[in-house]
Amino acid sequence: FVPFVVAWFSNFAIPLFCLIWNPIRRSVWGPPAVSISVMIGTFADRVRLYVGPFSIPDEDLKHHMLENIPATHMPDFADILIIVGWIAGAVMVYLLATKIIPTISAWEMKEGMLLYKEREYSRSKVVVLGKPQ
Amino acid sequence: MQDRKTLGDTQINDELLWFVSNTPLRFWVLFVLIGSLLGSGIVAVSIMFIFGLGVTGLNPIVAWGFMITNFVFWVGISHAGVMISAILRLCQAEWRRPVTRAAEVLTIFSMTTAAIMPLIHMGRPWRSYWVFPYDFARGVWPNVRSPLIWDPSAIFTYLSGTAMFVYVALLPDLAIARDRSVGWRRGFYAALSLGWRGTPRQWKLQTIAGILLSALILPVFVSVHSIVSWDFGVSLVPNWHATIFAPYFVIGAVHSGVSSVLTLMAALRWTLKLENFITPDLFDSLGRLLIAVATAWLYFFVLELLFGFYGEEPNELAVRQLQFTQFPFNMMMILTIILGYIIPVPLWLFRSVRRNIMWMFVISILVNIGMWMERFLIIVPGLMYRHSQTFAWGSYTPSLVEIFIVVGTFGVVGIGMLVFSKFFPIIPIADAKEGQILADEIQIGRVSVPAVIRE
Repeated sequence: FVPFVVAWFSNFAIPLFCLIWNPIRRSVWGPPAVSISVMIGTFADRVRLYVGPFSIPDEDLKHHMLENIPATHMPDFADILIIVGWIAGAVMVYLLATKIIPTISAWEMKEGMLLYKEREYSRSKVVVLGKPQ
Repeated sequence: MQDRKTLGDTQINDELLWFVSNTPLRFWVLFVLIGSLLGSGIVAVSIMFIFGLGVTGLNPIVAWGFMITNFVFWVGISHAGVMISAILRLCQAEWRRPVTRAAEVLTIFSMTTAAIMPLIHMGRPWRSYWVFPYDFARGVWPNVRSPLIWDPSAIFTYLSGTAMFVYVALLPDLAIARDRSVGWRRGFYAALSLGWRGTPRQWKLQTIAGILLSALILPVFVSVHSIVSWDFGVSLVPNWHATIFAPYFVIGAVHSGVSSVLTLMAALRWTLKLENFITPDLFDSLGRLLIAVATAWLYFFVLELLFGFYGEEPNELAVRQLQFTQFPFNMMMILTIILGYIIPVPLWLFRSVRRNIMWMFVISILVNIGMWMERFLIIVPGLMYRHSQTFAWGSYTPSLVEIFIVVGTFGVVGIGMLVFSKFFPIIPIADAKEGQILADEIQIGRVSVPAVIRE
């Protein structure tokens, strides 16, 4: 029940009721904060999908219906360390990669800047984007 | 972008309203031809109503055949409207302009046709109110656990959302038609245009409404065919009971829907003489989109087979054996893959083919034939599965009545599109003018590159 509620709030309610506000959506920090909520919610959803079913003993899998609901498996210290370590590991690999590979594509940015122009239109300034084939 | 033409406002008005104001001979020819398809469908339905469901090939075992296949097919076609219109509007893709209204109207008529199919399929639709769970005196309550309750909810949500979408986008064009009309037409367009005057506030509200509707209808678009797929997915019939059905059906719907839009745009270009608006660029863009969509469809098609074989359930394997080894299902399976992927996608990889309108027209029709067969292959073999009770063995041969009912549905959609384009401009005039205003050029070195003023 808890993972479902966490997933629902983090994946749906928080993103929806935060991103409908223009100041949040247009800020630099708003969408990343919401995306962290979404990642937490997605993780909770994965816990919901996998932990319960994998807790069912093999002998109960042969029955047509689930007669015994397995006990809730709470994460122990090792589980938490693995989760934290795994996420940190992924972030570490990405950080190390950014030392070797530029994360923002240089040639694409240059191409974009070539194709981006501003000009006067009526009484305002507009952005003009080139669309080469 | 390479086919960009500079058109004045008056020329746009004249060309896009020409078919509304004039009735050339080809309109009547098409009306008679498509009307005859519709007429054959009406005759077939009438025969079925008079003589009962026995005139079809249906039986208590294989209770779903051509008519339900057709239902799923038309729901699939209806997905093109949102795919093209909402997604491309939100992405600000310029090539959406000539195609949005035609795709949305195709959605409305194909959804209506799909909604009629289950009613016809009942055999005695005048008794359909018996299943309406809203007369509490009979004590019939909605069975919200049934996909047959989810279906109409989803379909009517999508239909009403798309109708609103079409109407909101149609308002400026209705005002133009009002201002150029006399007599009863003026009153007709005046009533529909709701007093549109083109004030900044009206334009602002109309734009916001369009964006909001685009965003809101996207989840509906995903849900509709997912729910239709669950008509099969939540049952226990082998070959139907699969969790892959929701995304598989949705991507199949996009595949057949966008192909139908391709067919429609080619037909509109030839019939309404819209060469200045429906250009080879549009077919090029649709073709490239279809490469991605067709590949995704093939992926889900293979996944569905894979999941069926992986479980090694005897029932499921028996149905797969039926699908792959017995005529006509084996032939239909081969044709589905050939027509749905093997012929179209390699051809679409070539720019010369994508820009050739006749080729694209033919290929898109082949795709839809393949997709119709795919739906048939999902629905019927599962019901033909022979379990241990021999009394529950059934086979299915479609009758002429069912064939003509299917033909008649093409007539419904065709007539709907033809009559709509007679009364309303099938290409949004305001959008076309906006495209002209936003078209620009920039100089990069010695090259002049087509550009777009970003909204």
